[in-house]
Amino acid sequence: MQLGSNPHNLFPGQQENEEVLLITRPHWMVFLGKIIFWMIFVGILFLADWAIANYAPILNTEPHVNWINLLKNIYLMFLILGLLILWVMYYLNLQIITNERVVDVTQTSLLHHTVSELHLSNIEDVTAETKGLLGTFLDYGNVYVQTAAETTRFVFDRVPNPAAVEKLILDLYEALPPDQKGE
Amino acid sequence: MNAYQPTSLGTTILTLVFYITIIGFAIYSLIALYALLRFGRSKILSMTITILYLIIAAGLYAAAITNLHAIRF
Repeated sequence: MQLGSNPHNLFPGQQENEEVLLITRPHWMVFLGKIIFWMIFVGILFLADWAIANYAPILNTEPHVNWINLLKNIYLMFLILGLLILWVMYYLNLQIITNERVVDVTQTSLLHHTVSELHLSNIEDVTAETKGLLGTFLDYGNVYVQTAAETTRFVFDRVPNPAAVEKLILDLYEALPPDQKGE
Repeated sequence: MNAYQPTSLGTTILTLVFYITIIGFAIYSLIALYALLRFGRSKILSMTITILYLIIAAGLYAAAITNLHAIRF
């Protein structure tokens, strides 16, 4: 989580004097889980090396070793590509809270980028949810923002310290002038 | 003077398959890097990751080419 900074050009509709209060991404544990899944494919490489050494040592001799090395190189290239995509998808998904609105930047796929903005006055309800063993001990979970806008619900997906995020949004809503609140 | 080395059908097919695979890898990589550079918040971080990735990919590609040329039918 990043608090109290004022970077520019975070999202298309950002105003010059708009204060960015929070930038948050899913908890690092979410990314770690995907990395662990990626490590399974790395393990396959080592498993193949072990299997060849023990059950097919002839594959480590000429001319077969060139085929094996070629396949391993190509496999490694796609492994690195997979790691890059995992990190890019994690890095490009973020939520921003400013003194005027809540912004959800979602990268659904590499070529599918969505920016949803919700003005604070359209907020109807905010709910913080922490569930599961890891969520409880590492303090991450979902924050649901019920709105009166076209997008009826914003979701802060598995963000760190969801209670603090909820409090921040509610405090900002309460700080709005009465004529701007959707009551 | 380099002697002419005729290629076999197997070598041609292998080379074709290899380069089609590499083109697919390159296209997918470029899309990922484009998304990172286009939508990434920190341009410095995005450039660093891009350069690092290209160096690693180039090294693996060079190793793959070496192995490809070492294969004889």
